[in-house]
Amino acid sequence: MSFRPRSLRAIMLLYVGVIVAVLLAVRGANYVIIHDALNREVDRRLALEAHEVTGDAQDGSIAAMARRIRTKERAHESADLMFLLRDRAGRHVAGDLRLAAIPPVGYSDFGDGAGVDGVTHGRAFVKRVADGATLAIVSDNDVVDAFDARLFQAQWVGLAVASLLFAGGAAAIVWQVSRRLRAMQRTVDAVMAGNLASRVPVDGSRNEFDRQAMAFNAMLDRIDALMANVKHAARDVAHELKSPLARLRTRIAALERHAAGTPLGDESSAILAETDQVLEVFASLMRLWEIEGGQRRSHFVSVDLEQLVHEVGETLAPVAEDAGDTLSVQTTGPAVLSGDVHLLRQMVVNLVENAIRHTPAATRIDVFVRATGTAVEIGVADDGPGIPADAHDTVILRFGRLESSIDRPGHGLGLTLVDAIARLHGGSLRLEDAAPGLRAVITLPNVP
Amino acid sequence: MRLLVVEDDARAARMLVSDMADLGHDTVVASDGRAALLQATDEPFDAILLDVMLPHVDGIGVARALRDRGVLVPIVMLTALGDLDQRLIGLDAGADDYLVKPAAPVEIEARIKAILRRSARTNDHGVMRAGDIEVNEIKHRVVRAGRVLSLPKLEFQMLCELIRNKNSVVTRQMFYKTVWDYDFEPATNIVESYIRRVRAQLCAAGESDPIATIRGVGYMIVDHG
Repeated sequence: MSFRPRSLRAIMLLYVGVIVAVLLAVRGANYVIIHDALNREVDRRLALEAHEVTGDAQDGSIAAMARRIRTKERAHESADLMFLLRDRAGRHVAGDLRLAAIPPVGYSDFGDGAGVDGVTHGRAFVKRVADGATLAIVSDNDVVDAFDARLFQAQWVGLAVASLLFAGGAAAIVWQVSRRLRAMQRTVDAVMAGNLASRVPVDGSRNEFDRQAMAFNAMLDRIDALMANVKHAARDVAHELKSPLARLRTRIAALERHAAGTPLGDESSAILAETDQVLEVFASLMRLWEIEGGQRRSHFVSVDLEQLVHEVGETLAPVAEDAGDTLSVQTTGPAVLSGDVHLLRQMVVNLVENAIRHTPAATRIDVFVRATGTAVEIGVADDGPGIPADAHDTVILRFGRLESSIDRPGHGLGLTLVDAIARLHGGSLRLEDAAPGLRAVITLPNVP
Repeated sequence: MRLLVVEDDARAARMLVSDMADLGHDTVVASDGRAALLQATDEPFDAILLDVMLPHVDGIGVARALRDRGVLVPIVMLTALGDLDQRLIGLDAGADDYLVKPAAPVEIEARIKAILRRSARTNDHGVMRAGDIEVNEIKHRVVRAGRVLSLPKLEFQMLCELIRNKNSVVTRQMFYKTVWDYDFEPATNIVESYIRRVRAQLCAAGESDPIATIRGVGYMIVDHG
């Protein structure tokens, strides 16, 4: 299984991780090489000194070696070295070095434990020389170790600085790219929420982000224009059809009057009813476009919804009674807000009519208005069959109808209109299960 | 009736002329605001059907100029959908009513007749009669054949509308506009429910039903007297 980072953050994290790992390896190798070279240099010197002490083959006696040791101990250039020469029996022959135990033959490190005066860290070189004697040379490594420690520290500091720079750079890139992406996301969200005029901010730098933002905005402009075209085309078609339909209706109405009482009478009544339905769809669509256009906002006045709902209740009570239903209105007091009185009236009428038309006889319909400090709620509840919760959104959609209601009158625009009017007033429509029945609630912001 | 149709779109004008001819009205067409002004001041018309969007002088300008010149002929504005501003300005400018284009011919005719009734009634003291029914609009009183009826507010307003327009059709749209101030057509038949209640009151003592249903259009009270 392979891991492939997808998010910018993960890519940058991986990038910084790899860079730090590589830096660590390079710096580590660097340190190890220098550290080794230093140690080798110390060893080489110890070997050289030992060679000088043991001398050539012609004068390799113990006495000569002891003499050369004494000379060296006095010399300035070998002041950091200490010597020890012991004979076959282990007796001290020459040198200032005092050791509890002779280190093993060859090179070795020693520390405080070795008990060498003035040396904390050292390197020892022990060699069997002529006549079974043993030569030990010890180098005081404190200076070398101090250098080594500083070298080690320098590697760490260098690594830390470089890592911080990389991480900082990566974070800056992530922040900058995310900022622009977030700006674009906000625009996309706004467009999805219906604000088609929203555009990605452009800072005029013409950098790659700006160019992309401009391309994105140009695309939105184009979509806007296309949608306007579609809307216009739909409007033109509707308008062109409405005229001949209105004339057709007039003629059918005349035909129906003449055919009354003849075998054609019922048929022409049915045709007239169908034509009326088509005209009703056109009227509703045009109304919807008018509302969605938003121009009616300029006609907002102060409206008391309590009074309006009582008015509508009074008007529709006989209609509900004729349908065998009971209609009641409950309010808690004045609910004044700024709105279009005609549209708000249509909104409430549509909701109540919806309850009358889509429920069987003997349904109880309750209309209520509740005003809180910040919002006004208008609701219509019935104890009819209700709508399944998963279809609540569908019935609000344009021409969204329940399968079971296809054979009933209605054109699927009633709740769409209600929703559009609520939205024009900054509110919303929601449907709830009234258990039993349906409750439609409109929430409008209360800004008188 | 003799009507002046002011419409710059030749096709729309032709259709209006033929629709009005079907209903038995004579029409004269003016294709711009200036021509409309000249014709409306020179010749007598029973009503003017006035488009809003016109070359030279627009419909609102025509209505205002005619009223300024003292021409009181009924004016029905024909507006495109969504022109709520223009509708309101048009009514302010002196138009008597407005209809959204395209309007059904019977609706146009009914509106013109209603305007003519309204202007003819100005001398009354709120009392109107049709056959054996008498209503007093100011006192909110209905009497049929000497029997005083008590009609609720909305039913009373419907009856007033019918009697004011006696012998001509009152369309559903007209009821919604004058009685309820609705600028839309409800989905349920509110008018039918109310007419049933008005009829029940009027015929409670077994009298004949004075309200005729004009199927597909509206209702009418016929006064043979």
